[in-house]
Amino acid sequence: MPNEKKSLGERLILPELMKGYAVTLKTLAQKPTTMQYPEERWQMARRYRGYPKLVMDEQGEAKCVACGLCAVVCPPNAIELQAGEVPRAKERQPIDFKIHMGRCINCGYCEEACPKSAIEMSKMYELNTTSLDDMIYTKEVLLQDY
Amino acid sequence: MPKVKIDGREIEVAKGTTLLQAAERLGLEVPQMCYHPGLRIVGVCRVCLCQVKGQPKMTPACATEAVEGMEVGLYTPEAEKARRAVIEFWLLNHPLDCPVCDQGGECPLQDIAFDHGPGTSRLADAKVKKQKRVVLGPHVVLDEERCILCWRCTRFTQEVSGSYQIMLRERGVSTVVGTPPGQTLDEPYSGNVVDLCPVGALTSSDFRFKSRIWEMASSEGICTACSVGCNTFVWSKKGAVERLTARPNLQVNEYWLCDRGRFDVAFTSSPERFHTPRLRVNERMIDVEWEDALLAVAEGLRGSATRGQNQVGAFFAPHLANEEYWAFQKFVRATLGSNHLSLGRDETLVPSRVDLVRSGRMLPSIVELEHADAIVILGGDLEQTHPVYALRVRKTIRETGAKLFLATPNPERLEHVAQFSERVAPAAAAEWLTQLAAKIKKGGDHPAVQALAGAKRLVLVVNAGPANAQIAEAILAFLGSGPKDSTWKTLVLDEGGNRWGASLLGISPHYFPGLKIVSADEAQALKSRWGGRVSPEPGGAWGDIIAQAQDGKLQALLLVNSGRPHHWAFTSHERAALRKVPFVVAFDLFTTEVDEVAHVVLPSLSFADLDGTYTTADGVVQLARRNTVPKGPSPVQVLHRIASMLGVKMKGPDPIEVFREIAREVPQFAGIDYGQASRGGARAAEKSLAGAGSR
Repeated sequence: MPNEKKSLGERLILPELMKGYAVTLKTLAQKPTTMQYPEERWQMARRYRGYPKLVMDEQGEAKCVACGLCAVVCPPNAIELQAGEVPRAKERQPIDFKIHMGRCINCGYCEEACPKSAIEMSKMYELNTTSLDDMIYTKEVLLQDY
Repeated sequence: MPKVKIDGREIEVAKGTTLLQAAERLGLEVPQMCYHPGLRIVGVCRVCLCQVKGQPKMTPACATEAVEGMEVGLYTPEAEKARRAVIEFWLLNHPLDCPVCDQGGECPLQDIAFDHGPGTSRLADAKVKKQKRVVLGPHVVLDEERCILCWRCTRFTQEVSGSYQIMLRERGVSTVVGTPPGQTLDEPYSGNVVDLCPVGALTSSDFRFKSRIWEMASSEGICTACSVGCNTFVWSKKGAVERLTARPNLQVNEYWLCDRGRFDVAFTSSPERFHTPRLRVNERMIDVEWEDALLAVAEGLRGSATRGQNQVGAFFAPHLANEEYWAFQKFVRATLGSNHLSLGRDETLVPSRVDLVRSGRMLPSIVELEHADAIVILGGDLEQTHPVYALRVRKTIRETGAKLFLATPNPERLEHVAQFSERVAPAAAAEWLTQLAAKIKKGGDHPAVQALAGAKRLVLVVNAGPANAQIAEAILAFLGSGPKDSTWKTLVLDEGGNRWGASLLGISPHYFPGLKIVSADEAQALKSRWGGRVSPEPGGAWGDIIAQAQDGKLQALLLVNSGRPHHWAFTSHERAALRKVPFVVAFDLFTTEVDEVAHVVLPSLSFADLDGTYTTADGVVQLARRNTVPKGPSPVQVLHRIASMLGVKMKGPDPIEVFREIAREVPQFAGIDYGQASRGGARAAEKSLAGAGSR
């Protein structure tokens, strides 16, 4: 790097330092423009599509009857489920329900296809993880409120 | 030949044709629910209502015979209106739980309601509630709400299987199907009502709520549980076979399957199946790589492949594919120089069948059974061993009034439709038959004897049990005792899914492929075609091979099973003999008793993993398609590798290549290709027995 000729003021350092302090002092009184994530979060728009989640019924079970329409409509093939029989009024429920969130494209087709309103798009958009396997959400995780 | 006009299009049909059939001949789609070609017509669902000119009311197309000059409106506004009303009635109390229902995706009610229905409901009141889960029997569960009362299931048990185990109860809106009080649906054909049910009312307890239709891959299969060779659709999801359904083939199984074949699919995806070859090292079986296992096999067989004749034994399960039998017998004969090929303990039926085929007394096809006026069943319970043939027997009795004579060791369900029945032990069968023939000739006064003596077209069904050396003679004596200008025929049935195919392809110590007797000339002819060193000496049967092992003179042994589990049923004495064999290779799906004696055990594949053809007991060659992605090579592929390690070039390993060779070399298979074998099956020409003969 060529040694640039600096002015006297620059070479004395102190005036430059004062300039910097002035900027700091000026903004100290102002409200911050950035959001204090993760303590603060966006209020997502009503129609915002985050990642899908399963809906619970009054008994605290998944509303899902494992009809498989979400899985068949899912464009990136992110949903995998296995149905099983339950001795309750709805007769059939998923014994295994997995969504690969790494594949999910938040299109909302699953929500639209569901005849039982048992899957819906949440407002959740955070997928930071250290392992790809953590992105496969199981039924238990999908039923949590996120 | 009446001419009718349907929706302005004219067609000439045979007398007795219904309007529905005529419309379908014209390529018109007729909505239908209760109509099934395998059942009698009842016309209860009313969705095929059509307008016939000159008739004041709508008439069901399925139950109306086409008459000369009829003018039919199938899709006129009036007919569509009537249909819409019928569908509205159906859906009145139908729960519309399609997302839950197993039938969703293959449901005619969905399709018809979508195409012809009103689209909306006018029902303001609550629907009628019924029971959602009624266990009818070991395989069938009923959802009463979904039933639309088409009577298919009731008609099936009344007309086809004759068990009368499903009936309609109550009246009007509370009508439900169910079993008669105190009974369960436990007949050997109960799975068919699940196939028949057009809605999701009757479900199979094995398959219930497991998969949606569109999640599964389906392919055309052949059931190998017995030698009827029923046509199936194999349905699998993620490599596991979920269910079998019947594939109609009027030459073979019509529309039906038995429960034994239909529900025996769980083993295909059983966690107990092994997929890694195992090798015996220091008296312990250890898992090894394929390459190591194949090297060990090639090494173990190398000695036998170069010297000695009839020093290698080969036991085969009776349900392998034709291609597997062919490849293995050719390898054992040409490369290992041995004719020790055995299908099991009891091989007396092969020579007897050859005698019978030569006599021209074999029933050419099971369809011919329907022309019989008397049927004699000798041996085991047909409903247990060949259940779908028993349905054909019932059909014949129902439609032609044929008389049934049972000579079986135990009481059985067919006795309800039999005219005469007698307890005959398998060992005494030949003697019983000879005596009966003598009585018929003499003109005995017993009503059974008199009835038989008057039969013109009698069919004698000889079922596995009474296999002994005299049986062929007794059968011929019996068939010869019929009255003048009568045609008495016989149908000989064996255990195992493809035993007749195996016999035709030379899985026999005494016969080369094509049922040619083992002789120096034939051996020379084979040698000139195949190369290698075909032995001119007949091999030994099951017992002879084991005796040779006992004497320590057997160099190697092959035990081949694939397709489905097989129980070799070696006695402890036989196992001790086999332990003396220096090298034993087994192909199997599961760990069985042969592990004890085997030096290498190679995993083979299930029926769903294999392309291949199977030959039915009456000689129809049918192709089964692979459905799943196999977890390893097929036995034929493995054999191909072993042969190339031994420096032998074989045809294949593609099954189609192997089958082309079969069609070239075996006269009974001449002219058959995979195309024919998949289109309803091709008939192996049993009559062309050039060079065949009895021992």
